Amino acid sequence: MYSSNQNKYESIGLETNPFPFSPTPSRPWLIAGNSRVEAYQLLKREIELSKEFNQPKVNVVEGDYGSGKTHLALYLVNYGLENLKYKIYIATVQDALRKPTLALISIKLINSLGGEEFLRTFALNFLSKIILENKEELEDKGVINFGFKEKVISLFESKYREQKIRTIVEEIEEEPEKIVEFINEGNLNDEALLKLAIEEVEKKFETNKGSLILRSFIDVDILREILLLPFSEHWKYYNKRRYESITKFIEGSEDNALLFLATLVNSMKYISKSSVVLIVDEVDAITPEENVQIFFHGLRTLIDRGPGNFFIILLCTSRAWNSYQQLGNVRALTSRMGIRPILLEQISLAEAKEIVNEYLKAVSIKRETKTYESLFEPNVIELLWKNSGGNIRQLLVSCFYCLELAVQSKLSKVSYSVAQETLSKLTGVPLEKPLLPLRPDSDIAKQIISKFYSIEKPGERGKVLEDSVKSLISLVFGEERVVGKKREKISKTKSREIDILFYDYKGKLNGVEVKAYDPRKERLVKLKDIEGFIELANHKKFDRFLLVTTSRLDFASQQELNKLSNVKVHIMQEEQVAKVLYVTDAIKDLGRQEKLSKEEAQEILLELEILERTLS
Amino acid sequence: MDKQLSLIQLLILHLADTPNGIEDKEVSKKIGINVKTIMNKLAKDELLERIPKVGKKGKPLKKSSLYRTSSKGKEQYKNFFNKLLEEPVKYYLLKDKVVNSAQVLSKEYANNVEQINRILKSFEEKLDWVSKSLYFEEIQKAEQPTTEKESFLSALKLAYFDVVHRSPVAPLVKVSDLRNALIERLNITKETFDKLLVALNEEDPYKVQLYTGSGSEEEGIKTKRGMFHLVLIKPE
Repeated sequence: MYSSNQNKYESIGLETNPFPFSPTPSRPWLIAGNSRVEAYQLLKREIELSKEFNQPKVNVVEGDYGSGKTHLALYLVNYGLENLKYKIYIATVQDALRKPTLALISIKLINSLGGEEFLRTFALNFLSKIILENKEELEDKGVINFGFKEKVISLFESKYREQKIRTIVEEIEEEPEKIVEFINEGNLNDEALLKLAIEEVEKKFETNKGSLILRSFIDVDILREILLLPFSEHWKYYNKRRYESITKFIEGSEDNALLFLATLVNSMKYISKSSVVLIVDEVDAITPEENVQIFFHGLRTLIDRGPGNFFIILLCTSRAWNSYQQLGNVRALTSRMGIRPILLEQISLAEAKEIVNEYLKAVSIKRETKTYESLFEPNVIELLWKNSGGNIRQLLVSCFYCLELAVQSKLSKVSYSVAQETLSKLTGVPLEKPLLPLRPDSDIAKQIISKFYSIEKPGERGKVLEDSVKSLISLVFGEERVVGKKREKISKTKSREIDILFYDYKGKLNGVEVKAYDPRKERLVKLKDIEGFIELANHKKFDRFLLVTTSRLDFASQQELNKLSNVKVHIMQEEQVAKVLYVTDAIKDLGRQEKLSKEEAQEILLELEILERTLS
Repeated sequence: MDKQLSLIQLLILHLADTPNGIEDKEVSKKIGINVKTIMNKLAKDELLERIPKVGKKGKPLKKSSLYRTSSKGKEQYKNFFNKLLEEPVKYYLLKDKVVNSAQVLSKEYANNVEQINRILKSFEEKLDWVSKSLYFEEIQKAEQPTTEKESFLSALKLAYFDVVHRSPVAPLVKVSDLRNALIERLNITKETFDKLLVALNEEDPYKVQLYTGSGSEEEGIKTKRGMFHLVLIKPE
């Protein structure tokens, strides 16, 4: 038996078995084989081309089960279209209880992006964009408020107003969440900001509700409701069911759904200045025929009347696409596609070798020596490929079993006889229970780090890491001991917020602040960033203070923190960041997918020095 | 009246028309299929003569013998080839002559060349199909899978590129459409078609690709990986 720290694949020169055991693509960032690379490039080119024209476009990717449709879609959404901000993947529109109308597509679209939380962040990003684009006029339009004291100061200090506006704009650009804070503190005028947003929309978009074609249309009423989502707790806009009322509106009629989609997609384009891509998987799963007609009718309406620069990719088996051709709405959509569906053909032997090598290379211990290329003895890939009938999924699954069998047989290579034995009892290979290490393999770690730092705003990034750390603390100390985010008063008029507040075993109160600036961009933690944390520590509000950060601190912050005896700073290394995010499944599809035990969580908290401090 | 011989048999008679005779293995090697049975039959019909093979020490070997085309055999294949080649040879000779003259003479000659080329091309196509159907009959008897599959593949490609233009799911084609086109042309059974198609797919699943599709069991093709209804043949 292997302990959790041992790597059973070391004897064959690998960190882990990289091949998928289940039908779900395990490493969607890997793309190899000429035909798949060409399909990806063709789609990318089409999407880029569609940007030139303000038109929606639909395309079909067709292929047999296991030919890599979902893999290609996940690659596009998560890795291949890095210059596009909004890429939406809907796993299926088939719902036994509901019809695949435009309304259902809209709801699934929001849900796949994160539901209410997404719309809330989206609203803040939209407002942030409005503020940035109109920064010269913020004072004139009354968006920025100046108190009496500030007005007096500005009489003596001519550049005071300009400086204040710049600071606010910069902070909002880095962290749009600050808009809520600025409104609560009275620095921003909520009504003026909303008015400015609507005025801008009316200038830049078509807002007449009678419009038949919605290429550049935004419904101001819908947009206003979305923009108010972050302020639903505010006394002026209080509405606990704002999100529900938006979804109810969408479900009201197909026209409402179309108006919503046009508003959302056109607003997305305003924020990102790029096309919006929607991928709908498992179109072949839609049943009965009536639902197929409904779905394709919805798409037809979307193409004829919907928002421009909206690229829709449908994934469907050849079998279904073939049988759908008899239906009127499908034929109508096919004629609007312009080009033929992209067929993911069975792969050639050369492609099979390339794909297998790509997987092995990703987790090879000695990548530079290229020993992984001879891990499968000559003719083994050919045998597996022939047996798979050129189907990628079958090829990769048999590779998975071959590696398992070779390791169990204590071989250093996958021999021809191992491959033959595997194929003769493919599902019958006795598998040892996989022991998932706490650390992700280097390939997954690389992807986690890349995804994590590709979160544009440091505030949103910090929230992801904060949630991970919080879940580890909850697991070790129990939910009941974790208070979470807390705002504490430090004076009669001033209060400061701490990210995570929890009671340790001794009943002592610990405050944890999490910062996730990108160390690769040399963004250091500045004194301004931890002002609130230092003020709380100075007031000795809690027993211990911990600052967990991904980047180093600048000189001024270090000096300030050195003065405080109750503060511990932990600078996380890249591997630690990857590990914490991996074990807590923080990045979609890049998690450990096994429940963490309390002991394992304790081990990680010790590494982060959170536990060491509290137990001492 | 003599029985009409197949192309393979005529080819054997031609190859065995040597003064010292030839071994059946050598003929098989030259043609690409095992023709031992066919040669035995030709010997029985007295179209081939058996000559004892002489060993290294100059003594005749009991177990192996050489074959030589008999005078009756010579007559048969020469008659056939003379008759068969008469027309094309005539046109080939004419073509050479016309081509040379056309370079210096009028447009009229060029048209003649074109017409001759058309006649030759159509003749070649006819000859190709005839030889293929004859070939398959012999192959089935000789049971030699490699060459059988290769020839089937080239016939399959011809039929595929013919059918694919009309396919609503191009580049995929219904197995049943391809099957109907080929069993008629090659005069083979449904079972033989299915057996050969599956064998080609198993040998190179990229060259002959099978896809799941909709339709009855009868229309599809059964493999160890399940039932497939669509096919795609890759060009070279």
